[in-house]
Amino acid sequence: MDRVRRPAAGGTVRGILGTGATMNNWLLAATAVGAISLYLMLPHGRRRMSQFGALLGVLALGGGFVELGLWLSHGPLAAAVAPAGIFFYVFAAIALASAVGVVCHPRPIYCALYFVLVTLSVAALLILLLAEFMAVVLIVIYAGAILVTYVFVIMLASPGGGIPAADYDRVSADPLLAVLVSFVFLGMILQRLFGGPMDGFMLARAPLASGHAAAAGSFAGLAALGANLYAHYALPLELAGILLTISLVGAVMISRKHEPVVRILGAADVPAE
Amino acid sequence: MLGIFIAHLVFALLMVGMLLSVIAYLILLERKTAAWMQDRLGPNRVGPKGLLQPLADGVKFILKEEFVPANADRILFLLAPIVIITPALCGFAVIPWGGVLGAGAHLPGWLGGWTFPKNFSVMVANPRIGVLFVIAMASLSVYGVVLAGWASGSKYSFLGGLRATAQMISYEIPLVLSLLSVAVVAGTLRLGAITDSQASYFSTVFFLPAWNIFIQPAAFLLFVTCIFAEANRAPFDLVECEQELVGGYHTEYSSMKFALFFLAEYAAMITGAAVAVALFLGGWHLPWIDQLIYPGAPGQPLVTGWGGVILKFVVFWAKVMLFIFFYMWVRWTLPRFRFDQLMNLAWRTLIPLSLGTFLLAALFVYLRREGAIEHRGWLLLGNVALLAGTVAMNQLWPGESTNRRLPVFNSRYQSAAGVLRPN
Repeated sequence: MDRVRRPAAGGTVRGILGTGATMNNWLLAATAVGAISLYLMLPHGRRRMSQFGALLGVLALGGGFVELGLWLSHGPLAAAVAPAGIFFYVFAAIALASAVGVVCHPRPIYCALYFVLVTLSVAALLILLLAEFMAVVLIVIYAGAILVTYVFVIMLASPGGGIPAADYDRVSADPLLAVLVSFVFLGMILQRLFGGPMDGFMLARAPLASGHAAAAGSFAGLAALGANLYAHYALPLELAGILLTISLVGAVMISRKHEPVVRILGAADVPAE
Repeated sequence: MLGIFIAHLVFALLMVGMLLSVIAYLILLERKTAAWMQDRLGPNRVGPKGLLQPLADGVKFILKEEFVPANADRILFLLAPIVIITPALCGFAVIPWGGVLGAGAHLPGWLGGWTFPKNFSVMVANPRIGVLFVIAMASLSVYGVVLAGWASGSKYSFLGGLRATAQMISYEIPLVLSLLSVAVVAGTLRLGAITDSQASYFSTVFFLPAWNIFIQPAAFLLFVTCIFAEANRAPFDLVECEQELVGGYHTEYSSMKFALFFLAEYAAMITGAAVAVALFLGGWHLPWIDQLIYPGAPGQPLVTGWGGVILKFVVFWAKVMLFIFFYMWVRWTLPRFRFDQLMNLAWRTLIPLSLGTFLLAALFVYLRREGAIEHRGWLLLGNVALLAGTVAMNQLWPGESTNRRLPVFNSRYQSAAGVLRPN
């Protein structure tokens, strides 16, 4: 890892901490603290633990945000990120907090609603990247169609009206395993993004690094998007279309009503009295 | 730049204020229309001709008791009215109310006499994805209904919420496809640009303005049907039908929380009407006499001064009001659908028809690009043929009738096992 390209901002935090922490170690530490806090927050039925976990999570997130903010405001992307300003942090914080809500809330319908909130704030983040089309499509498809179906199913499956949620909803099944797997995966992604040769947000960089004007022309332009999709990704697009059609037909086949078997009532069906 | 931003902000506040007062009077209009159609007088006690009735209604709503049922989910019960009113009011942001105000126009002296440094679109925001924004807001409005139904802890509300979900998801598909057909022909998703593209005349059919209702009547029919369903208006008001569900999803609501549901329904109506006017009915375009008002035919000045903007604004609102009257007219004319009829209409008729409309639109856009054909006349012909074909199919298709007679014996309507059994 080349420390030369590392922005000076890491140094500020390093100075505060008084350790030799690099950007990497700092983020990995934040990931680990986040994992512990999420584990504590996952519903065990112990209230105090989850409050402590929430506090820890806010600290980890806050630390991560400070580090990220300093890194961005001094780093090579500073000029590109500036227009997004405070909105990025606000919406990112909402997205992360409600993502925790999705996995931690004991009542499934609230989980689904938190999921809607995640979708909306991610859409806001996409708008900050000038990808309005992606943002609106995310809202229409996820919030408007898929999650409505979730809410529909949850409404049918879980009792409303003051009846407490079922045990399997109130206590998470395998919190340790889930947290371990997900955060090891997260740590791996962070390591790859910040520690490898690609150094930084490759996704965020593509539109931002080239400046907003260029981004408006290429990434968000609807015509350009369509042309690109059909010129370079025609086969995957068609395959996805065929897959969707097949699943549509399958859904119709599964849900189709079968003719009921007509059973002629016999003498045995009449209660003998 | 900041000045223009503030101008948009002020316009947004003006529009929200105007909207809420218009909604109050729409409720009066609805009651008066209902009375007129049923040969009654309607509200006529408060003020001259009952014109102060909305104020009395408002006071009544505020003074009523706020009631939360004992077994309601409190948080969601309070959240639902907020969730339903927010997207209903957001949809207004992208409606082109009055064309474009030219650069250099002044504010009147008593407002500071500020000069617009550049052209000002008379709308709150003009994003590239205007049509999609309208769709997104419409798709979010279902949450309020669903939450209200579930959180009330009442079976009537719950059934209303269930029906609402199924209905709104189903009718969203043809709605989106009909909007897409229009957008494909116009080549843009900005509502303002689509309106501007309608401010001309057919070159093949004389004197017919090139509004999208005349270019793609099938798409218009689909769109109107779907916004009726999305706004939960009759004949698609199964969600709140009194005979079966008391009040549907808002059975348990009272006071201002109930008023918010009411406001949201009317706001959705106005949004639907405004989108219909902007996309299908020519927006601010006043046919035939426009050449007298705006000299320089055939292309009209799309960018005007204050006079033009105010005239366009008035024309747009007049069309919106006519369309809203159409809503009320339909409500007192058509009976409510049965639930299976509702679903069959969406999935077996509207969705195939909207796919056909979309294919036609795409085909003629392609032909227009290839050779110089007049796509408008051909699209009109194609749409009429499509509608005629649908009607013919409906008559000839060997499907089962949903209204067939069922034998009682051995069906689920049989009163008790064995009672009707023949020996």
